[in-house]
Amino acid sequence: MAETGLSKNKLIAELTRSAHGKLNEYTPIVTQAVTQQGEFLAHLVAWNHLKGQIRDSKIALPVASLVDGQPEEFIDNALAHLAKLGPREFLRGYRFTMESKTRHRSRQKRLVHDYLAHKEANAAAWDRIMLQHRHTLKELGALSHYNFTERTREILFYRRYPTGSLFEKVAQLKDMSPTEAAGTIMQYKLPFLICLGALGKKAQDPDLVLALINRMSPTELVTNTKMLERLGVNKNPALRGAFQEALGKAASSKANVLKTSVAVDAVEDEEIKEKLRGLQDKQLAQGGVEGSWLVLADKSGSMSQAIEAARHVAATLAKMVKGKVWLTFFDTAPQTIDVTGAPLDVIQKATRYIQAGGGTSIGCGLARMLDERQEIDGIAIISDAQENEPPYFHDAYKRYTEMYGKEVPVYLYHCGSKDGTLQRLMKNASQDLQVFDLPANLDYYSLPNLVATMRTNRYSLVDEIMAVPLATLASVLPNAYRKEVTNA
Amino acid sequence: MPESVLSQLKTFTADRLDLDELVALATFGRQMRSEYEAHQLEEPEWLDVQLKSLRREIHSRNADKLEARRREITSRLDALKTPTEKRAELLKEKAKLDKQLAEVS
Repeated sequence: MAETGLSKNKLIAELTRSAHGKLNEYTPIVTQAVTQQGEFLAHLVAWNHLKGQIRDSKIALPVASLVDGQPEEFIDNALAHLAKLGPREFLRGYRFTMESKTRHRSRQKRLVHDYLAHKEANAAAWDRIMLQHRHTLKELGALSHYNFTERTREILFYRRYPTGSLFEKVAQLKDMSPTEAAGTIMQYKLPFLICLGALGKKAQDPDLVLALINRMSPTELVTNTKMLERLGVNKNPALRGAFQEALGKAASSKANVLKTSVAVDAVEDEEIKEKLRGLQDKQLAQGGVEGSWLVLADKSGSMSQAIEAARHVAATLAKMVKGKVWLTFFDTAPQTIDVTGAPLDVIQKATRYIQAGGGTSIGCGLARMLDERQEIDGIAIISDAQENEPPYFHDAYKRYTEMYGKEVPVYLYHCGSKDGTLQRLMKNASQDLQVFDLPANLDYYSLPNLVATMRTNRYSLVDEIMAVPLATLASVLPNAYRKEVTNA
Repeated sequence: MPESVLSQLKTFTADRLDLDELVALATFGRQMRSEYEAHQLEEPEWLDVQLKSLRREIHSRNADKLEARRREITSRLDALKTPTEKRAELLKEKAKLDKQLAEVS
């Protein structure tokens, strides 16, 4: 029973890794998954669109799924999820289909036409899309030879704007007084990035900064904190109030946990740093991990990467779960710290003298929990899995299972390229082990994403993914595809 | 529940909390204070310190929020002005400048 979930797990782990724009990095594993896990992959595309945090994977996964031999339902699902993307990501997806020469070319071209026609049909929403994505739309139109309506052409290509339109308001911003411009931005809900470009240096006026904060999306707020810091967001009472309010709204957003970590590092003002950490705590608390967890961190020789990764895993779990979290560093003896609720900086401070060195006994950490009769619901091991000293993990795990009458899931964050003794010994003992391979150049900011996929019930994430219904083009672009169904 | 709220009250970092959380902590702290009084127990020193800093933070957050809203409304009103109103304002300012210039020269 042990290894059936492995390839699914690897696929999930792959999604949580940011490719930083290199979409083709997803292709090999998706191509492999298409043949081995076709149905799971289709549901994964749908689940990732809803729950995923990495934008690249939302684009690459459906595109890489477009291969021959897939059932029509899965192809339709992949195209439908491309159609669900915003214009900028949709263009990246379309470009990626061209670069990787995926199958179903004519359907993809038609998809672009239907996508644009669908968006154009809603005049008010289309104006806002044109305002924000002028170059993207022009490029999409050029690549697919799409024939825009006369009105769209006038606006997109000739910059001739209807009187009283949003485009006219944006063009007038630079000639208005700061208060009037600020009021216009808020009244017409003009997008932050467009206003920033239209205002130029004028954007530094406090009234305009306030209006811009008001119009920022949660992601924009987090990614522009450094700029806001420079503009005095923590010095001016009104800006401070607006920033606090915007942070409150961003707290309910799941879209930018990783960016928040980057922003914390970027800003210098300690108060703003704390505010961002508070925001991240709230975002992480929305993660789906439950129960009490034991994080076993390998501090044996040359395991510096495991030590740092373990701090990040423990800090993420500490914020996500309502139960307890113990962080145990081990070589041949355990050193356990209760990190329940502790933020990363506190954990880093408490463990700053931990250094790599010594032999490896992964089981000693769990054996200690047994001796202290601490009940846990999940175990995360960060190690190269080269266990060479007793007590061995599989023995301690067996004893633990017998004592509490439950098999808690075990996740290995594998630092290293080749399989270790841990995998072999657990396989021989018919014990389940879920493996996440950590690359040598680990991106610590994407770790919380991986942690969020851990569950106290080893099958619940797979069940959760399979429960997400597949999308159809008829539901995403009803006007274009309902017509086709009727005609058929 | 009180154990985690209690430890939060003892160790909170105000900047990490939103207004609702600050108010919830202050409410808990004040309840604790009244229980100490009801049992005629000596109130711990930290409780007074924490309640004072909570009160200060809530007060300053609320003031910031009101200031932000006030500026927002001012900007919105400015954007709603008709061309006639804008013209009248400019004429008024011009008259004021003319008067000042006459005094200077």
